[in-house]
Amino acid sequence: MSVNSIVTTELVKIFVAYFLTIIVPPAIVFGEKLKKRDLPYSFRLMAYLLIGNGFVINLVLYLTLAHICSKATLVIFGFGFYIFMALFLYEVKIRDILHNIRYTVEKLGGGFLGRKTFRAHLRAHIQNGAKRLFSGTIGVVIHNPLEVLGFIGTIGLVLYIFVSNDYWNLGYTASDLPVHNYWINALGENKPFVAGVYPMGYHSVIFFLHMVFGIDTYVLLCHWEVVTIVLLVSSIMAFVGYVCGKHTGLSFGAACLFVMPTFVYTNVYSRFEMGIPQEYAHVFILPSLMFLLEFFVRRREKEEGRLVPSTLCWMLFSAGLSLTISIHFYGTVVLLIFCIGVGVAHLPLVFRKRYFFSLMKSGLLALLIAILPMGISLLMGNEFQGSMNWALGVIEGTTSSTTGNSGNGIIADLTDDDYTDDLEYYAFLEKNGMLDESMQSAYEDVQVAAGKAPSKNESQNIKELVVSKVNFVVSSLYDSIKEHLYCGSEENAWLIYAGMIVAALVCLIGIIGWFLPWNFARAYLSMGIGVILLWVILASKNLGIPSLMDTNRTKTFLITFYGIIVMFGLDFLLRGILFFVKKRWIHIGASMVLCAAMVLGFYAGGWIQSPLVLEANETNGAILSLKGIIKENKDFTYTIISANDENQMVADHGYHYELSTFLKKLHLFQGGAFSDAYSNIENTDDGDIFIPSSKVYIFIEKVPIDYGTSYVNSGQSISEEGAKQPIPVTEGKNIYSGENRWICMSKMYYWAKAYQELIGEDMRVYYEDDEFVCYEITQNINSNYNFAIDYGYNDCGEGEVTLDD
Amino acid sequence: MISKKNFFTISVMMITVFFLFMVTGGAKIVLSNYGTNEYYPSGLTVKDTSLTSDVSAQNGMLYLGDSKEVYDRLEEWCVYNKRSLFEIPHGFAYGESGVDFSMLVIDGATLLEEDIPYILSCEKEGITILFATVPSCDFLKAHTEIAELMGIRTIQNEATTLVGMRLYEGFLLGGEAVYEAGEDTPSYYEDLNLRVPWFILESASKVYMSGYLNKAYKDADASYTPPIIWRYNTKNTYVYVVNNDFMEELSALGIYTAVESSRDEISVYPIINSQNMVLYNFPTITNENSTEMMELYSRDTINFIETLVWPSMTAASSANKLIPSFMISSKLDYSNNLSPSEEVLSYLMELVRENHGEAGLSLKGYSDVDGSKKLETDLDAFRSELSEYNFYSCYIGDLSVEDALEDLAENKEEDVNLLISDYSAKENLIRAKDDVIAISPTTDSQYYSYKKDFTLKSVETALGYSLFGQEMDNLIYPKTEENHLQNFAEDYSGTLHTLYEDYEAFDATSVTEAGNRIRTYLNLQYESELSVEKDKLTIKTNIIGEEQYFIVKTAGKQIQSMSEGQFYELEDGVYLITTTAAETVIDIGEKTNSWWSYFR
Repeated sequence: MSVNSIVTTELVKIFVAYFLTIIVPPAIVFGEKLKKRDLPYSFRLMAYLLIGNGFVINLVLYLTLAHICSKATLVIFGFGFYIFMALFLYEVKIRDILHNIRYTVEKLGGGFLGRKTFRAHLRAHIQNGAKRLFSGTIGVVIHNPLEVLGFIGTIGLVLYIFVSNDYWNLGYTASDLPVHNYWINALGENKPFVAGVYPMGYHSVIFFLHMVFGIDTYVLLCHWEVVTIVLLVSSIMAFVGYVCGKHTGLSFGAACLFVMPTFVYTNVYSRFEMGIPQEYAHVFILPSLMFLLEFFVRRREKEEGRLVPSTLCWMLFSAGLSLTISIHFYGTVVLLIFCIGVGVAHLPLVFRKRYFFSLMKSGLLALLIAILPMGISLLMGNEFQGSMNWALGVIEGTTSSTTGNSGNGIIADLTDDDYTDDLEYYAFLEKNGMLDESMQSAYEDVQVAAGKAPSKNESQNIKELVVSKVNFVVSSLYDSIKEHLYCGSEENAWLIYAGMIVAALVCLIGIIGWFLPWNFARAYLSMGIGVILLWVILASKNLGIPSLMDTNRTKTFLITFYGIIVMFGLDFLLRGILFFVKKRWIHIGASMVLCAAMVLGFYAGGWIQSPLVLEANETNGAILSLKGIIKENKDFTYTIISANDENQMVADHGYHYELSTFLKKLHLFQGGAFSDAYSNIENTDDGDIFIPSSKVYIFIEKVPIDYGTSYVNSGQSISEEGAKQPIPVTEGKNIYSGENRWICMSKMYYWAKAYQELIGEDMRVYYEDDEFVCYEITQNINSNYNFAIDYGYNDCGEGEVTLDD
Repeated sequence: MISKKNFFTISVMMITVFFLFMVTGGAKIVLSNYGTNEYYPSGLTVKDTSLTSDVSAQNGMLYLGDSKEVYDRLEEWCVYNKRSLFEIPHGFAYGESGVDFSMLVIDGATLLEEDIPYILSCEKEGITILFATVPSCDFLKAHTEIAELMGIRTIQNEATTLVGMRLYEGFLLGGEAVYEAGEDTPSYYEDLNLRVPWFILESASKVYMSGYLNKAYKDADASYTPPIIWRYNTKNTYVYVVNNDFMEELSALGIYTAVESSRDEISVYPIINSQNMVLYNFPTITNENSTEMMELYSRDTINFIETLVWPSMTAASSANKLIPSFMISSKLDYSNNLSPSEEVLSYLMELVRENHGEAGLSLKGYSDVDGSKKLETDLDAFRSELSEYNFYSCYIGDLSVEDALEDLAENKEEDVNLLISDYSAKENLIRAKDDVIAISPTTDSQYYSYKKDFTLKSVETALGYSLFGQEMDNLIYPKTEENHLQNFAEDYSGTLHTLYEDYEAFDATSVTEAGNRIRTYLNLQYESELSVEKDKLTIKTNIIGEEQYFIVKTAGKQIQSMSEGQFYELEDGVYLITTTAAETVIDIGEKTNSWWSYFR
């Protein structure tokens, strides 16, 4: 089976599994009810997404906390909940169902109901059910062919740009995925917060799909970014479609503008290629905002004879908010930033008692739903996971985002100086009388830049001061965009200003609309404020204010929403031009033409980016070997010796032996000559290496990858020179980073060659390409090979090696 | 009150049913043709099976040592495999023999210091070395170069008493075997030599069989258990060591073959492919010792044979998918004057035919009677019912082949060309003399034992052949309670099942058919050539038209197809090849998963 077929099969399996467990059950149970509450199709889909995810996450967390999580309980409770909800919502009594069944059986048994008639009834029931289930989707497809085509085209473009990498680089594209894999595997052992309390929503969803459908966790993690990006783009389209109404073409424009431009740094998109929690939380921001905006649009609905704010909307907003908390706090931060925008756009309505309390209830409910499992775990004695303290520190400003890590020891790539540091430095010098004249001028500049001191000319002209401040802010925003997002030519740098003007205009329209009954304008204003706030966070260093999020993360959020703002500008333009046109199809057609023109313009300008490429942390050979090994062997009959990552990937199927431990034991090996001394047969730590499984696979990179960091000779092949080097004496995974990896792989390769000569047919090459080789050793499970030999490079030099490293 | 119409209908139905039963019963008797032997000997002739000593022959075997038993078994293996065998004296200088050989077999127990330079020279030259027995521990301590050559790191204990042994999968055909007695295990099971020296081996040694330690060593790592058979790579050659007395017995055959085939990644060798079940002096057709039979089984001897023994034995054969061969006898005690029953003979021969069995003669009876006279008496009794039956096989007990042939000639039974003798360590399992094949059983009593099991595995590996011969006299003349049918049947069927369940893939044959296959095997000359690039194995043979059988070991790969004949996977990476062509090409490739497995 070719690599393409394998990847395609895996992607199809993942999407089918996600659709069947996350979307379909809420659609069956809640679809009719939501339809009756006048929620359009796109709204309903977003609602299913929120409900499905929310339920699955909480189900997994509570079952694991109760230590009863298994495939059986997940399926039973999963289906049980939806069946219960269906019975409850549609007021069906179990007694009636049982009665009907008994009645039918009696009729069948008594001959009053023929088998053919019974079969016909059954068939009709199934057909009606299927019709009802899919009528919405089929209706949408039939009645909106242009939109459907646009949707398919947009998703096709998105898949082309983001999914191609899945076929080229099969492994994990983020270095912290092995950690997430470990946490997900721990859920299988009913340990929900194995490394400390951390938002486990993302892990729970993946775990659920793994358990119920049997898709390997590593496969889900390798392709999760496809799920994320498709859902994210769908949510963008749904949101823009909601705000822009008949101008549905703009939805596709917003999605295209998000994924297409070549004048945006590709590293902005790299997080979307990783399939990590923050991006999955990102998916739920726009659906939540949709329900929040709808909450204000609906004002008051008649519920149980009373006019009250839409309970449905605030509850679904609450679901979205809780999901962002459950999955990644940065999603919550960004959602709350946009909530500020929504709040400003709906002043003073937001402070009216009934709306305010509804929103408070919504927030508290979201917090309760999301925090409760974590709180239970904290009460059970668990502590916060390391990166949680770091993230909270960044938000509080007590930790620098430049030195933080996300739980796996990866150092962020930000090393810029910031004004705060400079200020502290100069203030320290001044306090201690060490500030000389040459430094005085620089200190004043820094103070001005950080807004801590008035400029020299302030007293001279207040007007100039305002102008300079505005200039400073505008230039800071411009600079930050140029530094972090825009990578086009200087000639086209006007695009940055154009973007700023569009954002300002959208806000202006929103402000005007604030005085008018324009709901769309309030949405404009909400998003405009949100985007500007994000922008400010991105430029926080230039502006001299504390950073709420690091720039790497901020820019991934900003790029998603920026296209929406541009589309809002175009939406207003179309609303103006087509103000007197009532025909719906003209609005749709015009927006589609506009979108098509934009795409064509991008195409003509060569601004549509090629598929994104992100190197994986494992070679394709390693992943293909892993897949083959899992398929060909019975579970837990084999061991993989490799450099760490496969440890968690194979955890459900086989054993793993750390390559570094293997090399260190080889170093301790003392053998080769007959000895009169009796052997210590109760302890193999004196250098003998026995791996008790019938098959042992050894993963060796012939061209070691740059794991975490590159070094001077990155990309060099393993060699005798590498094997001669001492075993790196370092901690944790650093033994596999940079040059260390080259040394380890070189040593392992020469060991494999030497051992193959010794045992002959029992050791064969399982897989080999230019970059990777996998050896397979077959041995007696009850009389294992001793892998410790003198292969010529056992000695590790002067460094002291212990097995505890 | 039944009506006339119904009465008529019922009568017609009853007559019809009665008629149908009568017809089928009658047809069975007429069509079974029990009076003839359905098996025929092949036209192939085997003149003799003496050892070739062609010094120019390649892949010869070299023997160094004093043990006659080891030498005899090695010689027997060389006969079957058409290999030259040379024996060298102690202190022989390397290069003096001038012969081309591929393996040096050493009787370690009689190794002398002066042999060491020769052995080390062989090792340097890359010649495979097999220690058929291990040198004494004192010798190893004094000559550490031999210990290192054998892959011995330490002598943990000079003589350890094991509680059992474990043969690992992949060395001998039949898979893994555990020879460890439990609390309820009969004592006769444990007939292996359990007292052996305990060595700790060097890294990368491959252990094929190891011993079980007693509870005193419960904390010992499993990988340090005493090795019984192992292989060590000195970087120049493979050194095999057998730390037991297996090479002095029939079990040596399979070990030599396993060693030979484990040296190459893909190996091929011919086998006989024949599994046989032979019952000596059964059935008898004389109602002798009836008084005792009446006491024991409430029926006379003939009735006992027909209604109790026969069903038990045929059930055992069919359960194990074996074809029973009956070395029939008119009576057991030739000193009495009781007459054999022709009617019984007729009935029993019908049953023989129904079971696709074969009848043969017997020269050895329960009573001490001359073979020729016994045969004469038997043939007189068989003459009227079996005048057209050709006997091709004969049980000769401990008679020599020459004496047996003489007795047969006296009674004009020249058709007999397959003799079944009792097992003798002095003689080969298969002998050919003047176109007559003499074979011995691989298992010769109803009692299972570990050594029998190991021996059978070994012979199956080497030859794909087995013969379970069973004396039946003691059932009619029981000496102990063990000879009572209920005990006998339990032991017999249990042993048969335990021994043969792993070899159902081999063909079950009657003894005449076995003789045919042995003739083909002994006449077979073959060459095999492996095209490494294309993974194609070509086997060329000198025999066309007769079925020939080979074992192909592929080291984990799988046979994709073959040009002539069929293949069947016996075990992982071990195939049974059947062909009638002079040249067969076999495609060998990596194991592949079916495409749908990725959708699971």
